[in-house]
Amino acid sequence: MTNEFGRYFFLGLGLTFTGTATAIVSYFQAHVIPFAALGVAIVILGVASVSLPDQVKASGAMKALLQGSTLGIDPLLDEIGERMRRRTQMARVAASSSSSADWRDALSDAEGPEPEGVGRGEEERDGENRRSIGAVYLPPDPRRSLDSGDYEGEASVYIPLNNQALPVTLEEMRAAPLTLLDERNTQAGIRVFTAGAYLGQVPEIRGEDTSIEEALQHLLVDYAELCSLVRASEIEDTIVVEINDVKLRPESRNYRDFLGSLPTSLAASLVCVMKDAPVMVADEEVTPAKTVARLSILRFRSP
Amino acid sequence: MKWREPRGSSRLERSRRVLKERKNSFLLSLAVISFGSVVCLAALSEERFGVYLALLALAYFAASLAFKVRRRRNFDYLAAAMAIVFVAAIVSSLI
Repeated sequence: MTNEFGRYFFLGLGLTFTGTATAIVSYFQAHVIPFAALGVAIVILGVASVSLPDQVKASGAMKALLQGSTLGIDPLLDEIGERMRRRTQMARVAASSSSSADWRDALSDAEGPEPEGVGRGEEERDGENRRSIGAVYLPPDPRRSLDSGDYEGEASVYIPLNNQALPVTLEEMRAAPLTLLDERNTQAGIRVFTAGAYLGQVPEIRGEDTSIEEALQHLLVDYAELCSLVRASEIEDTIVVEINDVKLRPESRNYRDFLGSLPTSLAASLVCVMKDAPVMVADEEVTPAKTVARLSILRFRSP
Repeated sequence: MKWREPRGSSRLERSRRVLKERKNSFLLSLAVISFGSVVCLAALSEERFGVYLALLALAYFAASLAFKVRRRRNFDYLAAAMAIVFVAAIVSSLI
């Protein structure tokens, strides 16, 4: 627990003193029992307020669990990053050895067109970190159960391996391999599982009357203890999520680059489960005070 | 990328957001239940102090169970104190 003294502490202190004075004066001098009881009620309220922390600090157990949840995927993300860097380097080498007229075409062919919203890199703007994330969070396949054994009943994340346009159907992304194939294969993407893979099984999150903001508050504040407050704004197919006072940043740099920060990753998993549609983290701004992520719901044409 | 308040945001919406914080809801509920109990007992001309204390203890337990807020310490000392007060009030009324 935290030792910070904030507004709840001082409010409680004021109420406690006021209630104590009221109770003592009412009981011993005025002999008015209801006012003395009112003073005791104010004291109880004050002590309750003092006992509330201004900021909830994540428990050690939860911190360890969240760190472990990101650790398992790190080696795979390392390999993905390494493979993409090798491909880019090979393309540049091939381009530089071509004629000056041809190298631009060779580089463009190797790297592919820059699809909308896909890119990976950090931009420094006014001291803030802002990045685009190319991964697409896929909802679980409702036709499959968790016991099917083919990993279709869980929510997953599609990571494009080349800077190509995304597959045109959800089924194509779901059909992506779960491992990295031999480098000679032109593997377009890979599907991975994150900490939010089983969010579809949490009844409080999937309640019919639960809004996205309420579900995010339950998940990130109450259960995962990752932050103090979450706000969400939904505008057509875009959801802007503001996550205040992030307590933990257990994810590695690779995780952040490919999947977004852990709170954003969990938020994207939750949104794709609730909307039952693929979600892409179009944009993420991470500052010490808060994280703001823009999630785009992707609509694919039916196969 | 700036945060945009949802459409139709008003003082009511902002108040709802404040109340959505569990701590604020807990304190407000505790205040309403406690003060309401005292007012009702006063209206019934109750003069036994133990009855007021017992009802205030019950109000605290009800609010704590309903909201399950996190506290600075793992052990809820106030709940323990209210339990002792409740038992003492019951015993004193029986004696």
